[in-house]
Amino acid sequence: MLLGIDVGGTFTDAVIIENERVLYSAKRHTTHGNVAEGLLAALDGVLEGSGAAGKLKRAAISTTLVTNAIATGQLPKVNIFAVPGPGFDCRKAFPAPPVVIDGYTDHRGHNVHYAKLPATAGGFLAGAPAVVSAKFSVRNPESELALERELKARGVKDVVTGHSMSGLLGFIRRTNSAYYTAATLDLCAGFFAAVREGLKKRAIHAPLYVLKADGGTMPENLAGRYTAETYFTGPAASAVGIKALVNPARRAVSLDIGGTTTDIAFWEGNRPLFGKRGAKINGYPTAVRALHLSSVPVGGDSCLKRTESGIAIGPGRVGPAMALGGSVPTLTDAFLLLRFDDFGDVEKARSAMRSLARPGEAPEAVAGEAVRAAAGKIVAVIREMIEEYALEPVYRVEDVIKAHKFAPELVIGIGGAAKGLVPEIAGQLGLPFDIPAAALVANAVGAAVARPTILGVLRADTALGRCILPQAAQGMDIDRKFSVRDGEILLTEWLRREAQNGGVEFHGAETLWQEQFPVIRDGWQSGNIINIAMQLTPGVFFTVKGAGGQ
Amino acid sequence: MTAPLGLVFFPAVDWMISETHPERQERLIYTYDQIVEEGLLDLAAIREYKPRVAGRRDIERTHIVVPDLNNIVTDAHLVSAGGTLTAADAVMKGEVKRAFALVRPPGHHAMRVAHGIRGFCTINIEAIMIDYLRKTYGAGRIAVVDTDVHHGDGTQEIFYHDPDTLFISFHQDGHTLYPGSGFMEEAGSPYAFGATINLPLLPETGDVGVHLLFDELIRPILDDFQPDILINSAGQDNHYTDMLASMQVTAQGYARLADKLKADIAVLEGGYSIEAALPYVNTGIVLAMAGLDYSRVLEPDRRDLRPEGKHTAARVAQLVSDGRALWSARGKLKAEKIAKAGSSWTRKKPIYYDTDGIREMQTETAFYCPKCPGYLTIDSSARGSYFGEQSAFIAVVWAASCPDCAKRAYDAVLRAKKQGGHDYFFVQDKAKDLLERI
Repeated sequence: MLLGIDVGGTFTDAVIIENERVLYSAKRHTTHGNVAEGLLAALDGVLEGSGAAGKLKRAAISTTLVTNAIATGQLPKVNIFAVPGPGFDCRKAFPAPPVVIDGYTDHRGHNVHYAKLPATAGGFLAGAPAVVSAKFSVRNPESELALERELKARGVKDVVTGHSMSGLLGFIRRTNSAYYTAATLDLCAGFFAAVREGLKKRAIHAPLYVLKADGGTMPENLAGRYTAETYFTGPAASAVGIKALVNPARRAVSLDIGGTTTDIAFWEGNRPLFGKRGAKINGYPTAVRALHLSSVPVGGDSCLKRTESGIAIGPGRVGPAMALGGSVPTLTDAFLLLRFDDFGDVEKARSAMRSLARPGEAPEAVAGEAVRAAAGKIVAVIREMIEEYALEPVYRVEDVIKAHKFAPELVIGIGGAAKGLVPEIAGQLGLPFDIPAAALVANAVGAAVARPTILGVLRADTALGRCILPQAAQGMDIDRKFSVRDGEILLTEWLRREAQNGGVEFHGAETLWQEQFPVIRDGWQSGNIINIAMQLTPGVFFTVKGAGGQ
Repeated sequence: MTAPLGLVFFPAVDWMISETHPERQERLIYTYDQIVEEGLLDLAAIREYKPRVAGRRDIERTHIVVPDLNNIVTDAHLVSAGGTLTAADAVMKGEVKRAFALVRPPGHHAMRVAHGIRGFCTINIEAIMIDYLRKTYGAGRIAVVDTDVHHGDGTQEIFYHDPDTLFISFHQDGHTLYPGSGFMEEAGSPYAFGATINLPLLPETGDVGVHLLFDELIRPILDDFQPDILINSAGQDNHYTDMLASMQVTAQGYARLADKLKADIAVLEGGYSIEAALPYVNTGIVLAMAGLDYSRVLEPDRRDLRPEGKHTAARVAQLVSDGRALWSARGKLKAEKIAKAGSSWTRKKPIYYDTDGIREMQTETAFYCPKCPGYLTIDSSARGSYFGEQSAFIAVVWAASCPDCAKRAYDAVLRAKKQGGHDYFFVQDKAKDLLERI
């Protein structure tokens, strides 16, 4: 049995899954002051009468904890120690002004000038967590490691290094990832302890996992170190939920249509498409790997207005539907009148639509127009996303010449308002659609069945005779014959060890990309440079066929 | 919203001339590393564009490839040429203030007629962009400042008869470097006299000399010419670490030049110090063109940087004085040259394709007309091409040619075909925007 809990903006959902079915589910209000409280309430709801506590193999949670802390600006002070060297003036690129330290590592990883914390470097709070980030630390982390040692010697407890955040290029992104990680370490430690304590009280001893922005999970001990990775996990949870419930075999566009917004994701070959470089947090680019998503402010609670040209949707959300006691007509009223939904007062929904009608116009006609307009807004964004995707830069001739447009073949809908809008959206796109059962708790299902993911990067430079796994700050000497295959073997081994250290079963690794190019000196080839990125194969433990039981 | 800089970045990491050729797959890899590590592609001031693929018509608007485009033009060329067109569109549509096509393979040694690769260039991506700007946006006066260490002989040749395209190239003196041309006497054909300005610098000229030349001569000429569009052929091999040349310009020198020049569109040309120069020069140019602070962009290794000597400064002073004289007298000189030429002007030129080892001999004749810019004929024969010996007779009808001249151009080719002695016959009709095989 697997437990999945999704802490959303309004509701916290919990599910228990066994034999590819959702056996139990529960929904409780999210408690923003103390997230663990609502989480445990949902847990009690799902456990009630199930007798499942002792049978759970794994507990996985998806939480808005970090997202909310960042959105509300409740972050502690973090000291950033940056080693930018010559280049772009990055002093305003981070969420907090950095202490700039001299030093430089070049693009090949030569430590041109060692970074050293000046003896007089004061002005920083020794009690606050620190970020140490150097340009090209993924080619050679020596500077960051030296500064980390010096800071720890001066009594700084938590030091987060740039190279541990990501093995990929992007100094500012790594620094920002490290900043948001450092700023949420204490918060997450407290939260995980409370959840762990709550599980223990309920006699649940299953390992605890946390969902990441890339739709994978990580074990509690890693989640406590890479806290920024749990940013923006709501849409990721919904994507894994779709994977578990639908497992789209074709190119698809998925829609998670809630009360206030619709999240749009694209699927190709069974997998959601990823954003190119990493998520933005609070407007700052980070190295947090995340899905290629767009959010449209259209949902069941979007208010409706009559304008000259027709029915306008939102953007605001004023309150619940009139059919549910609200005071302003909403999309949900339209759904109800058209019998897409079957809760609430149909007569109130009718009078809501009548209030928007032109003289002589039937309320049902108004409802139809509202649904078409709302679907039209979402379809416009889908088309924009397709255009944008086609225009994403690529760096190989072959990728330009053979470029194809993303052409979805299926629309998948989950979330509370999916039934009302998805058929119309699919109709406007001329595509079939699928609204899976259990769509209402898809996010919790996603958390429950998401496999752990770890992404690793390797760089080998046979001209220099060096190979490095930047995240591990692990370097080794190699000979001229070192090949891509050798690199893949090394990286797979590292992923296997990382998985073991986190208590994760290793179920195979896959190469995300690899490149090799020669180093030419004086007209002859002095070696090769090899870059490889691999990850634990992502996905779900099994697909979920639908709801059963309670 | 108009971003300060549109960047078309295309390193073509799967294309090379040959395994150890300087124009090979990883030429821009270190630059890519630097740009991504610096985070330049994440800046709000920079909008990145994917290059499009140039079409046959885009290429043939500029070039006559003998026997056909497919024989020497690869997909990589179509993408790098397409990248310049993407950059041009971004600027002309007002999406960005300026654009930099940081693309390869380069093009400024490719001439109007192409039998193969010369100076690592197959088609002239800049000239293709200029012809596109004229055709699509009706661009009038265009100025090109070529800051590559090699003379931009291809661009010069293509616009040698065009008074509305001002071509200024400073480069290492042709007595000491490929392609061996680019002296001040090459100032344009009579009808376009003074629209070509060549400024050969002595080896070891550095930031001081180049900036003096720019401030004292190039800037005033540009101010006087008042181009509608200003283009920078942004070669980077004047850098002090470039192994194919002997100059002493730094990344700061290039960045400050880009800042002063304020080109509407820059197009990468040469530059083969791929580890020690390109990452820094490109970072500097990108920041300068985006209006951002570039003062911290410095090469980590400056051991090979030498101070400039008196002899290089003396050459700069000479060029400033000769260049000013040429520019101020160009109207009078042009009238004299046209009067002397009469109804036509002919030049014979040997063209050597160093990369491919092809020897071409051309006779180019510009025919003048009282009502229009006239037309051009080219008699070209090449030895050592992929097809052994091949020859072509070509006429070029200008966009503004009068109907009589257009007819004369077609007649000239038909006559040549009747006479025999050539393998291929073309009319490049810029008025109809067509390359016709006769």
